[in-house]
Amino acid sequence: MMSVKFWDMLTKRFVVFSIVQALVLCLCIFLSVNHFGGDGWQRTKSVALILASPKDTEGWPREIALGMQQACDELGYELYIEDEVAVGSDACHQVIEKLIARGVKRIFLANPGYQKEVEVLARKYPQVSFFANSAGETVSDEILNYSVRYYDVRYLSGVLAGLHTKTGIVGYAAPFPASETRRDLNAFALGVQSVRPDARILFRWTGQWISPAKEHEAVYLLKMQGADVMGYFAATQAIAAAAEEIGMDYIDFHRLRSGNAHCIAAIETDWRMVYTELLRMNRRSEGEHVYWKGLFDDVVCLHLQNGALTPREEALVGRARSALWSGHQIFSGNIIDQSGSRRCMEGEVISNSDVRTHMDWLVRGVESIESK
Amino acid sequence: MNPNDSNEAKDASQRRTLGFAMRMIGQFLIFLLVLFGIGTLLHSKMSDALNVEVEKFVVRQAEQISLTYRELFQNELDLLEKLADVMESGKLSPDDVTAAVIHGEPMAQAGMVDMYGRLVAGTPLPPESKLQMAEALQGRQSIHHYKGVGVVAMVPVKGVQNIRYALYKIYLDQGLQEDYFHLSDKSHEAKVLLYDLNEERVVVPYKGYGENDRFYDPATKLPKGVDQLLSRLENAHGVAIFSPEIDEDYVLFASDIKDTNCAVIGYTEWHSVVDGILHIHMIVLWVFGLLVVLFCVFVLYAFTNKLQAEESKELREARDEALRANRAKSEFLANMSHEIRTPLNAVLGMNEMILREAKGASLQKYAWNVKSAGETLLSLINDILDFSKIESGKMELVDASYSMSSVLNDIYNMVKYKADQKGLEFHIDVMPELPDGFRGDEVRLRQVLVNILNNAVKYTPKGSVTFTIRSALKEFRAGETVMLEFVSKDTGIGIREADKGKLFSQFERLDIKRNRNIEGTGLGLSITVRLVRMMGGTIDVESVYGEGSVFTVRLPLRIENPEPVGDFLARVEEFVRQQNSYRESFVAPGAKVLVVDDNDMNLTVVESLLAKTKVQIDCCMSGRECLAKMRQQHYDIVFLDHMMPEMDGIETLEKAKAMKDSKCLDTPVIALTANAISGVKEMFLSKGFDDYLSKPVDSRALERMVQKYLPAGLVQAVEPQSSSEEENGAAPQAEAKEETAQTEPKETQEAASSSYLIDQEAGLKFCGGTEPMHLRFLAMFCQRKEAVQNKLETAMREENWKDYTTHIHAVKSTSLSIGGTQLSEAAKALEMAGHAYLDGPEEEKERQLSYIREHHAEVMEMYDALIEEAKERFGVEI
Repeated sequence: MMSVKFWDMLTKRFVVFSIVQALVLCLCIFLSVNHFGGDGWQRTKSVALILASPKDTEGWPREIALGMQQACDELGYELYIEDEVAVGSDACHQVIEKLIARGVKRIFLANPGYQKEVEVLARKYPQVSFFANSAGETVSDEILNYSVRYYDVRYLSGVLAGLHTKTGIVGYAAPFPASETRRDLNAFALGVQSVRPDARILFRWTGQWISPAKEHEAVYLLKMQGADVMGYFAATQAIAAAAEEIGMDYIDFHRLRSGNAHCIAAIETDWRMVYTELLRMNRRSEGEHVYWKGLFDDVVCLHLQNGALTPREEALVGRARSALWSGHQIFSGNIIDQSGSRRCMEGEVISNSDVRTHMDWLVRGVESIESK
Repeated sequence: MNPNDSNEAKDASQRRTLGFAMRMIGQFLIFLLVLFGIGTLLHSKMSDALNVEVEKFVVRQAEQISLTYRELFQNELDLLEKLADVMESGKLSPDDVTAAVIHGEPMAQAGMVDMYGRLVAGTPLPPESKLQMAEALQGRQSIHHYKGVGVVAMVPVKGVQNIRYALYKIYLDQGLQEDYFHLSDKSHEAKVLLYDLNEERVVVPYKGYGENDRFYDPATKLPKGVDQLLSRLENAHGVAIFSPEIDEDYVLFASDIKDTNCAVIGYTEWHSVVDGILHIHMIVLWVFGLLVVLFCVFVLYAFTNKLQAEESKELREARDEALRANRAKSEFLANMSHEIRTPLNAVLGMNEMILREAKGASLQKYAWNVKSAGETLLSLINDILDFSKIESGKMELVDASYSMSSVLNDIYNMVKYKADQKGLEFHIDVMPELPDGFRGDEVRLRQVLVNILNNAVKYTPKGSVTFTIRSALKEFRAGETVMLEFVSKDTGIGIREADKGKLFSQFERLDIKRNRNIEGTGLGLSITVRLVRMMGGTIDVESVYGEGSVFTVRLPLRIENPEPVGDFLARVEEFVRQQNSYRESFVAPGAKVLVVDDNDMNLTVVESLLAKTKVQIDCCMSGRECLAKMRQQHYDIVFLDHMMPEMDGIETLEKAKAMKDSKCLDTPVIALTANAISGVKEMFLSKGFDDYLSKPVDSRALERMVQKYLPAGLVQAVEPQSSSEEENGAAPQAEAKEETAQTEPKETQEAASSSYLIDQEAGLKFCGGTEPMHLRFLAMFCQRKEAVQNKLETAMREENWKDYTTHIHAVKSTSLSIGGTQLSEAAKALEMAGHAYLDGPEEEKERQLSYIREHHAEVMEMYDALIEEAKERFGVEI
């Protein structure tokens, strides 16, 4: 009896032991094979986005962060977002070093101000790709500059503003004079003039990409000067809020806010598409340094507010858009700048490279307003 | 172990072995399965990893090809740009330029448009080309394919300040089939197609691409697998697919070409890519296979070890179990033997009573049988007790001094008796130099020697047994340890060679068929061997089957007194003579003896029995008196009755020993008792007595006792002549008497008892064998009658049953000593009832009392009748 019991016990114990043993062994080997044989072995593709402002700030920060997140999700990248990294301090360096130590291979800089700081690091880490958001100047071969070609849409928004104004005075606000701000202002002005040659185009520099007080002041001044519709160029949507508050119609930037009574349209950027294309880009094999896409690439569009526009306005804006698609050139024909010199003659088109980097003039008909 | 058991054990062991084997195979299979699974997993993982690498490699290849295409296109654009530059400098008109572009190329066309889309020169383009033109006018060079037209390369042409025209060259579709942009022919192992992403058609095929081609899909009229490639291409610049569903041998790849609406799509052979890597794959699988084999070997080895370990574990457990069981058995035996011995002693004791008192010859015979069977049983039980004591380690050797001659003497007597009974000769040969005084365990030595000699006698049907004691040394000194050889040689049945090994094992009895008539437990020799070993000795046996055996026991013994034994045979004879010449063989006028008994008749008996030895005798009737006398003077021997009123013998002795002013501290004290059952001697010895005598006192025993315990100086032998005369006369008489006592007296007793209350024969025996003494005792008995009866009546009246029992006890013993056996018997019954009342269980007390009350008068009557008879028959006068 004893031996039988012993035997039973041993058998039970043996079975449990064997199964556990086999399972553990299987698990170990499976895990190791999986680890070495699978994708896990290759470092997860990771991407970082560096922002100067909090990532949920309305405007570029939020749109860029969201678009980046969507692109990464779609392509299976792991995304690190580092926001509130001050420009012009050591913070950016530290953050980038940390990210590289973490194995990040692509770093996207959302603010143009970072570009010069990062150049050193871009040379130090050739295996890491740096993408700087700056349409104007290219600093280094190691950095790919990306930006959105807004001017086609600015032109369309100018057409809309010209059609929409009752007073014949159209306002515009932008941070400071630079190639990209002048380009957009010029395109806006040409748009307005294409439908309303007699319109006054008032504009004001607000000083910074983000400067709420000055932006508020600019809107107020424009209103005072008689403008009843305006467009703007800024990192945030503070101007739109100010215009809404004051009661001036405006063409919003970044994203349409459908509830707002004075918002007639908005320039919207498909950042998801921008970052998807950038992530897909094999920079080294393609030898590109600049990414600059816009209306024709479906990266930007003018989103018209439903019900805020007259059918005529909508139709004319639509016609202008199809004209662009069928070869109408914005910076073409007879263009005279503020100083009176001719920038383009009849039958000619200003090349994109000039438009992109050498726009150091403003078209005739735009007026800067000064504070009193 | 019966055959069933052994079969079961065999089955169990077979089952166990089978179980082990099954488990082993089971575990082995599990491991093998696991390894197989892992191997498969490894293989598939490696294949996957390999395919991933192949795809990556092919993606790179695709991107490379797309770059090559781009360079190809770039060359065309560069050519156009050069012509544009020439035109800008104003050297050529638009028509000249377009003509220059297509110079020598029949399958190409060219044209130029201005910023309003108006054709300036050459061939017009379809409306789809407007966007390309717009971009060209903004300064971008590009290549685009248009359905039904062909591939269009376009560059801007500058005017005065800015861009004025767009110059383009059309590579017609017909020409693309043969002349332009064919890459696969040039170098690659891959087959490459240029594919229009917008129009979803092949722009530039590789050579041989067509309806019968491997990669042409007739259902869609497109290249094979293009859907999968294009859907993946949305998320990457270059892709590759290796899927057996699409093609088993080829890897598909695609990569878009920058600044065009085209992509390259190609097919490359899987083997051409992985050729070298495949070897690594095979090596890994091969090594894994080897590892599997190695592992199997290891597992087998581990199992074998485990099997062995478990077997030895089982053996160990079985051994422990057996040891435990054996110990339990020994303890049980020890306990049981002890428990059996106690009632057996009682049985034997009672049987002794029966022997003494039984009247019928057949009754006597039965009692004798009981006695002999009982003693055999007792000796067996003692054997078992000894054995189990040894087994359980409880046997301890006592260290005490003893006389070798005494030991030999006892052995001689015992063995000689048995040998005589069987008609065997028994010789003893002791070397004369053998020392007499030794130290050690006398009892165990005796046991060893008696065992081997008894064995010799037992297994010797005829012939002789010779016992030899010798030593290599001739001179002995006190304190030395000497190796003595005890040799028992017989002419018995001998031992078979094959059985010698079993000889000393417990419970084994050899040659059972032949020895079935010989009783024994089979423990004797086993005990002997163990005892010998305990004493540090050895035991050997030599034997010739059928002729006899020689047992040699060698024991180291410590000498205490080197005085030699001398001629042992002579001593034995002397001793025997001493035994026989018990009567008046000595006088001891200087000796003083104290006899203590509450019964004056007993005192008188002792006194008269010792009268001839001239010993000075003092008598007293109670313990207290005895103590007083001991204080007064020294006695050489004290006889102390056991049953006395007030203070019994044991108590008296205790007090005497504790008494500091006693003059008899060294005096031997001998107990007198009427309860002569076995075991009593041990009881008395344990209480401090030196020996005991049973009442009624046998004169011979009394004299022997006195002679034994008196200091040698006080004893004087009577003159040899007279003693030898006496001896010659008395010894045969005594022997004859003893012989008859066993047979005849019973009949006479029986006859006598029918008519007389007084058995003269019996009376004479207890009174020194002389009639005058008997008469004297009778007279004394009669005189005491009144007093005794009064005491009994008083006790009866006062219901003092303790006193009553003591008095009736006295009646019992005194009446027996004058031959009043019937009265003694009746008195004894009353005494026993009295004891039962005093000590027995509560519920029976009433019954005992009523027995006493009923029979008391009867006994008194018998008492009276006896006195009357004495008066009439022997003329006793009161």
